[in-house]
Amino acid sequence: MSEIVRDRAIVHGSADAVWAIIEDPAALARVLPGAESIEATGPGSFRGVLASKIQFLTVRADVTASFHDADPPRHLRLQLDGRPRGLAGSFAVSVPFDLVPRDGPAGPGTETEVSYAVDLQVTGRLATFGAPLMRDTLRRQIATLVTNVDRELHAGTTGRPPGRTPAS
Amino acid sequence: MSVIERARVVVVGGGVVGGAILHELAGNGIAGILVEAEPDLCEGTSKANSAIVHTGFDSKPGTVESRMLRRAAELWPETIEVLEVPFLAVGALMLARTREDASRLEVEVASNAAALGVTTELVDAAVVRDLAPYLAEDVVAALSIPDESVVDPFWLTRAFVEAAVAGGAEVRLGRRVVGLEVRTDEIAVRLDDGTTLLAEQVIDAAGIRADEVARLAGDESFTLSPRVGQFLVSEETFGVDRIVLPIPGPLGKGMLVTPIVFGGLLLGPTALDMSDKDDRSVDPASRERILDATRAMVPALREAVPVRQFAGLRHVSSTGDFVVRPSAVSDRLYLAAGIRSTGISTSPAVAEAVVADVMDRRRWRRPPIRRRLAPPPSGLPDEPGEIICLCRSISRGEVAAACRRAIAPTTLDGVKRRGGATFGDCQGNLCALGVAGIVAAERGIPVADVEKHRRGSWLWERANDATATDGRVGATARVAPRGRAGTLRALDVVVVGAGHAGAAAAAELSRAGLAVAVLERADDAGRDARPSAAAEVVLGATVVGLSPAADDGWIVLAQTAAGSIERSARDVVVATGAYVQPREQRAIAGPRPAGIMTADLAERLLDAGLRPGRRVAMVGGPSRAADLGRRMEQAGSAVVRLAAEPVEVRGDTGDARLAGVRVGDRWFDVDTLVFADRLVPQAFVLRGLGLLDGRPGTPAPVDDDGRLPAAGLWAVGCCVEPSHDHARCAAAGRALGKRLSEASSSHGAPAVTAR
Repeated sequence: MSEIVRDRAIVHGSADAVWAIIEDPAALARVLPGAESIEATGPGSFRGVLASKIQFLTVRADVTASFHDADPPRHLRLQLDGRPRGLAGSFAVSVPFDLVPRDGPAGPGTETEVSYAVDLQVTGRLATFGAPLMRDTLRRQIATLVTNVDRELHAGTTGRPPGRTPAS
Repeated sequence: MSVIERARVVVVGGGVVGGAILHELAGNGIAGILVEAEPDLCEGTSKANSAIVHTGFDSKPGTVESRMLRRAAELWPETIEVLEVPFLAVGALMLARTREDASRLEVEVASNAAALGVTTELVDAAVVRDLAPYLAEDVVAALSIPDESVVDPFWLTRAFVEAAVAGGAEVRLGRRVVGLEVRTDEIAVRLDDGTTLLAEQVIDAAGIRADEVARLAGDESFTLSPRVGQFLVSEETFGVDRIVLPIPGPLGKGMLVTPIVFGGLLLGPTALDMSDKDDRSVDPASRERILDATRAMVPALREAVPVRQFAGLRHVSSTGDFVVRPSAVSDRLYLAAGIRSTGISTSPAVAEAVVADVMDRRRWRRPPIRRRLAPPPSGLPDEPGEIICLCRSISRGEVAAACRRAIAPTTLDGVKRRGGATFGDCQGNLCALGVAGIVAAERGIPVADVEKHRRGSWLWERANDATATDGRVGATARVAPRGRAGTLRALDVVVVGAGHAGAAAAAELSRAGLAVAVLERADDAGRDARPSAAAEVVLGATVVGLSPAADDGWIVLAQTAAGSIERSARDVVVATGAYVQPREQRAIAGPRPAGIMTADLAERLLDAGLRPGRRVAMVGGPSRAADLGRRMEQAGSAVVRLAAEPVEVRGDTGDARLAGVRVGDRWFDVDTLVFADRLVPQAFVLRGLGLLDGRPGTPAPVDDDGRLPAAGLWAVGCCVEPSHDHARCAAAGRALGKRLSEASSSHGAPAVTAR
């Protein structure tokens, strides 16, 4: 694995609210970019289909996801393993992230700084696309994820049916 | 037989500018016809350049080119979004290596950029180190141009045209314009197939030949001459993450180091004014000049091993600027010519300007809303099928999908540009026949009729004694259907490759009672190498990934005709062999016609009932070359055995097919050159793990015991030492198998060390 992205983002909600999304498969399906389906397969583990847009190509992939090293609501590592449909090979993504409460306009602890790193291992065809394209793809997906999380936080968590989110 | 058709607009030239114009017309509701002389789009200037989307920071104010560059900068975001093209805003650093250079950057370049409204920033040496630690230590300052970007020129051109076709446009490939007759209300376009297109408007976007097309209508108001630029491609990036360039000289931007969108680096170009518009020869001296110039900026390029050298032609216009205007003869002929090295960058703006002016002159009504036309989606099947292109893990499904695009490739190079097959380390010598077989099947033609690029660029022929073949060599595999958990079998050892080393290792391991699987890419597991019957042998299985297992050991992912399979093992032995070094990695001057190949391809051709050529020159040692020579002679080829590697090659007219090779001072008139001499190790599968970088020919990095720098991974045979013969490879395989077996028996488990 090699670290391909390290960055931070601000989401407009408390760390507890962000953690609640992580623990709710339906909410997770709404915020994960390109999530076509997600189902829980056990505590902290899921499987589903994600559609990721690599600029010129939308790749649908069968994925399994699992959470590790959970320290609510401060730290979590997401492990995502997948096989793209239509392309030979596989990918494995490890995303450790830390949530740090911060003061926002609405008061103390109403915003959360999310620090994350993305370790990526790709094999086969995806590996030939080159690191710059993969980095660009991941950055776009993370930006979409942050937007989706913000939208989810502001929309509340009640009454919203699971829906497909755009590939990023 | 002459055929007369009517068309509203005919666009002459299937390069990026012609494609952009066709797209802009379609967006305005005008379905044009694009005519291209070559068998595919993007065969001229558009295919061989730096692939940079320039901001125009160093353009000459007041020129058409400068105006187009600035307008294009505004159009690019939407163009990328709509066309979905590979594009990266990597930015650029123009380097100053003396105080005088730094002053020039500030006084000349930065001020010019500011006047044009292009964002730049002068940065000092410390900031340069921080931004780009791979640069030479003598860099004293740099001009950062953050909006300089790179794109894939083929993808861009094709996306323009395919989107236009989705909007009703037509494309005629392989049709040359041989006559233009301007009439009062129309212009007659005569094609070399006898067709006459009667058009209300013709747009001349014929690239380096746009002056010749204009002269067909009597317009001699400008001429174009070629400026040849040679480039090198390095698969390894050495950390370079942005465009690096020197302060420009009188012939252009100088030698650049440019990241390629799909990975790797482009080095160059040279700049040499020529007269022959067909001459795309390369030479070793230019290769060294490029390497010297780029190593001066990025010292790590000392370690670069280029996988390809090619030449492109830029346009030098007699007017000194773009020629974007109505023809001097009639405004029914509109010129989009003299688009020198910034054709990609300016294409959206040139298209917009040309189409707007044409519509005004023809008084065509603009639609209330301009159509945003996108190319159709990729059409990839869910199941990729077997791997065709080993270097790039490109599957049969991917190649077939490329062949079903709106603008389908008809040539081998056409497939390469639509997905990269044949573009990797081996330069097609391991996969060209497989790729051509798919093209042939999709087009319903014999595989012998598939050409390399231009008309007459035949690749191979039916052998004298051949039976019918579709080129689909070894497409069947004795495998289980695709599955994941169902095919994940826990083993002691997986051996990747059933050549002499792999087979011997597997036999030794099986003899010791270990559970072994052998995954072999070929359908016939070595003519004389036989793994033990106790081992599971999966033929036609190309390993595309090695991943650490969650608990311990490795998961081996392989692709077969029937689907993907997985094997789980404590240890993996990589025995993937070697391949013959292709021409692209040798210092040989001349053009790059069809007919130059390695023994790897020549042997596959003979196996398939084809022959590499009629008059064949061959380079090689006594063993493999002798056998290959005999087989080629049996197939009807006349074979000349060369005493040394040629220093130069030449092509026939248009460089379609090889016409001769030179050794010393002597030319040999041959249509085919086969290398059967120098082997380089093949261990592509280790790149995904970061155990090998992108340089071709790097052996698997093992210690004295055959251990790779990741616990549980081993390598043996020609992928470690390509000079070893069959007997030594087998002996090395047996020895490794024995070591692993003994370690297993002494520890109760295979030789898995600390992970």
